Amino acid sequence: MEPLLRVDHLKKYFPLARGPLTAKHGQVHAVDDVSFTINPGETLGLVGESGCGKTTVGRCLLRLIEPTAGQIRFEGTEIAGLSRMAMKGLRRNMQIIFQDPFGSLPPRMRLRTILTEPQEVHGVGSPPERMEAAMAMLQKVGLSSEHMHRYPHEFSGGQRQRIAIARALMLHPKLVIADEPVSALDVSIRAQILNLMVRLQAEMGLSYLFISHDLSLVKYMSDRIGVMYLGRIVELAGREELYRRPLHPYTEALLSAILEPKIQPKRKGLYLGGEVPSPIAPPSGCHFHPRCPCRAPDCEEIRPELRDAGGGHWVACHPR
Amino acid sequence: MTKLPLLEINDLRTYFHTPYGVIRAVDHVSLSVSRGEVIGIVGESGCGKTVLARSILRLIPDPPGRIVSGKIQMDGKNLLELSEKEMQGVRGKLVSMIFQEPMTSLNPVYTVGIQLAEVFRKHQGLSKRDALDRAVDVLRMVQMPSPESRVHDYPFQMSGGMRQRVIIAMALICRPQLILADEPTTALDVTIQAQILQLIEERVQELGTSVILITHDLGVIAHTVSRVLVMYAGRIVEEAGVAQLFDRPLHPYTEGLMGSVPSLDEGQHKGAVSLKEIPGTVPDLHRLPKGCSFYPRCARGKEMCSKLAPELEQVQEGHWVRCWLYV
Repeated sequence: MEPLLRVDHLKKYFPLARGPLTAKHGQVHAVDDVSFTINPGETLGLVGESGCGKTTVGRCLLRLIEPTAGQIRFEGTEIAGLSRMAMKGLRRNMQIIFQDPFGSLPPRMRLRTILTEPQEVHGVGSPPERMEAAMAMLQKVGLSSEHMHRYPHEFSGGQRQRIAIARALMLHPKLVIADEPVSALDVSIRAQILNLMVRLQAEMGLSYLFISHDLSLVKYMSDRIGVMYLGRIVELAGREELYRRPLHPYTEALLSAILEPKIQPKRKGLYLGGEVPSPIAPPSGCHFHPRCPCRAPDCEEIRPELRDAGGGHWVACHPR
Repeated sequence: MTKLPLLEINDLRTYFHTPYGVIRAVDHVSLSVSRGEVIGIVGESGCGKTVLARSILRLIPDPPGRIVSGKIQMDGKNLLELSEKEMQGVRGKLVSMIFQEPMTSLNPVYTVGIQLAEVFRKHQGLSKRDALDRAVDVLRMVQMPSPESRVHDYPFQMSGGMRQRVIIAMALICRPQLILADEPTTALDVTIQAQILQLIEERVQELGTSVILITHDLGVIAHTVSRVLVMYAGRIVEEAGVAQLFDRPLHPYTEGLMGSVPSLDEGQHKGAVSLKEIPGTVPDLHRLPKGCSFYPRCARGKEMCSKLAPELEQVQEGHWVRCWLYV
């Protein structure tokens, strides 16, 4: 099966300000050689803590941020060199939902314009047809069409996120990048939005790149999961496999830090000390080695590549 | 022998008077905390948990807010009857607060050393030099790496986790009897959260401090506190020991909250199970429905619920709930 999306050796380095008055040089290695695929109809989860690069990866895929290096192939077509016009055509198939339901909707556009604009921009349908499509989509996401005249600020956070989802789906994309889609919402609303996303995936045959720092959510929503640390994927596996048999010490630490809402005996889990190092001067070799309880001499010198541990399970860690 | 409560709040009401109406942010809340006890208040935004904490420290802006009635007894005094000067002797000394956003509770234009030293100078009358030395000590106590150099850092030079350690250090300086921790780890990464919760637990046990931990995160609650109060629309809707609450949540809102978090057990994924939803949204606090404020979202509501607001009743030893299903 040809993957829907294929990312190879993606890199994004942000230059630091340089000039006569600043002493800073160098780059922020936000995404540091990342490769993965997403198949049609599946959800790939991308999980990691702040600064791991997961949000930057999402934005590079749509070229909202221009990659520094690497290949991104959507349905076989290389994205990196596409012209603006060609990119526009591609965006019919790849859409994004952001974390902030307050900032991601244009505050001076009424709902009806927010929803009809995507089709208008891409020359789809006549105005009455676009309006009809907008009403149908609104209903699909559980909102009432009687609010079409309202502005974003007149809706609650949960409703705004539904609007963002509706907007993203107006052109029936194949892939939706969801960047922390429920983190800014109240706990009792999150389930509504997640259930909606699952239902829409089944109805519309969507693929998702589900980006989140919340491991419980990622496990629930994803088929396969990539764990990121300081710009790199350190482990990639099927959902159950990752949680049952984590191979990378960082994954183990992340899993042991999850606090489930139930009474559990005090676990002697892997307690991870220290802080995430700066992506400006990441540690040599394996980025995780300074904090790793299983560190070996090799780890400081040689960067571990993602190696096949069998059964679709990949890990970037020298064999121990 | 029952423990004498350290803090006893009786029928507290904190209202905000706005042009749109009166917001009953904290509406007839009573609770007590014993010495050395760690209790949790769980609820979502707008439930009143933060206003409750700020009411204890009398940090409610007036206007438009006002503590309309109630008593907050601590150490033989009603905190609501103290003068502002007397309250300044309470804040940071008897009762300390840890806030959610470490960036907004630290002053950006002073080094953390100066800010920590300020507490020593104000509450313990130390000299500038002694206060700064103590600041280094206290940073070491919260496991700040290289405290002697970090003491000269500005908040922006620190990560979120480090800033939160500074806040905790600041809160502990005067060995308060009670700490109000308002979402202390919500803005932090999960591995840092584990470190910070462990730190709070260790220091609190050492000092015998009581804690009111305020959060929306049921996972944090399950692993940190011994007793839980669930708040909704300004009121306590359920109160129980932590094991009791997770074993048998009574209020439909509590049940809904617990069911909406995905389980890590095998087979609990999309396609196999749906997450339990609570329909609708948190009500507008200045337009609360008549009767039970949760009724519009309740799957088990009866007609009576829309007409009459239930009281908090004890259903089992130590387990209270505000719901007509249990009366």
